[in-house]
Amino acid sequence: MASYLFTRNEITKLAKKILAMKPDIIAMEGPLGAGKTTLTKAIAKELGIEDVIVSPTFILHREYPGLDHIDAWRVEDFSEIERLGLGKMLAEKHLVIIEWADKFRQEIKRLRDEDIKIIWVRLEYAVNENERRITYENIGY
Amino acid sequence: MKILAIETSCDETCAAVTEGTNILSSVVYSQIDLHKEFGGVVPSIARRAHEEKISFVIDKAMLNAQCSMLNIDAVAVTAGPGLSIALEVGIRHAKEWAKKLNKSLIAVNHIEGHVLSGLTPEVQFPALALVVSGGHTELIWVEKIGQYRIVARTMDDALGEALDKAARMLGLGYPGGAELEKKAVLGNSKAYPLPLPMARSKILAFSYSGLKTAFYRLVKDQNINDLAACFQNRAFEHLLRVTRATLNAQPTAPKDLLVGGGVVANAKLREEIKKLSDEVGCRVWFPGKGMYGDNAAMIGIAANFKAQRGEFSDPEKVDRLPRWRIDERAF
Repeated sequence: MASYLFTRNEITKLAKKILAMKPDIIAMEGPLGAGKTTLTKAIAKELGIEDVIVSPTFILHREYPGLDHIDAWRVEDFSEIERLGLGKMLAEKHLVIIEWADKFRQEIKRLRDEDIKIIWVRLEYAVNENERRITYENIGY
Repeated sequence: MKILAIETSCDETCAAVTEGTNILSSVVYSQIDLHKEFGGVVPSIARRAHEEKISFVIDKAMLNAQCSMLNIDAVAVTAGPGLSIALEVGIRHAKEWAKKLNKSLIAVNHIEGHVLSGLTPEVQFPALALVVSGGHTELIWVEKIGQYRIVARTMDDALGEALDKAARMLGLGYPGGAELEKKAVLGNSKAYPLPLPMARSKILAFSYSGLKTAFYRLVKDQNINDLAACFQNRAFEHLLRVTRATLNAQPTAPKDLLVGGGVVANAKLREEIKKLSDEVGCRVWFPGKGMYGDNAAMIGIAANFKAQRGEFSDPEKVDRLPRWRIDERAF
């Protein structure tokens, strides 16, 4: 587990570090405005995706080339995420980013049984306005 | 041409009967009470509620329009953008009705519905359209009806979404934007400093993530009314600044500004948009009451123009398009 203070300018560095761990799923948790979508933007940029990454809150799921961005905030049951095509996304080797992943911690962790590599990222506000404490952890296969 | 229109893209189950741009009936079953306790639209609950209410809503729209099945000339439905599993319900029922009546199906873009929701015969094209809702914040160049170009859109949250999230940070009820407005009316919008998003940027785009973050840091034991007023004020100021810049950036200034979407229900926003239009010398058109938020009448009106252009859809091909852009052709 690694826990660091990051400023806005260092987000690219963080995106690179996370991607270097070769995740299948990046599970994000953190309060409103902590930067979940901002970090997703940085990751997408590293993946060479040119689309504008916008908040997936309204339609739950946005698909980009090689990346699926899911918002679990208002999802009642994990089966809804499965019905969005999670299995297919993973089979096609898309990187899957799930915001508000803490809502389905157990269900997501269970995917490790299917050889899915998960990086868990926690974003927290720090004392300094421009900083975030970001903890990321390879929770393994 | 009489059109039966159906709309289920989010959390309102809607049906309407329209003839040209006239609305013969418009029925909206709002699911607000069902989603309240979750603080936002829960897609699976939305779908169940659509399933339960849609036949009743369609029947009521037909009844209110005093319209028999024989008089319907076409069936229109929202195919996107919106929640996939919610859209699906309306599409399936529209296909069934089109088949039953042996009439054409017209798949309509939800945003086009909002763009045309304030349309009057006086509107001259090209015009600029501003759509502000829980899921969308877009400025659209309307060369003529049916020909659109997105000029500016959000890079993160939609305006309505940002207002909802700010309300949530203040512990207000749902729908957040409306609750925030009630508090904001009582507050002082100058009480606390909040950044104006992208204040020095020349890019024509919207962004609310920075404002949201700054707001999170303000929210402590402060005055809720003032906080609400400050957030709302800055959020609108940003919207207006980008709208003004877009109007000024056009080689020939449009004479008309069409405004639509659920956030238009906010009286302060309408007032500010009116001021802006007076300042830049264009006319502004808001939807009639009951037409701000989602409704099927606007879908019927948009469908009428599509029918005039011969843009009917193949029922076999029509499917949900959760991210359908207004400037993309489909089906």
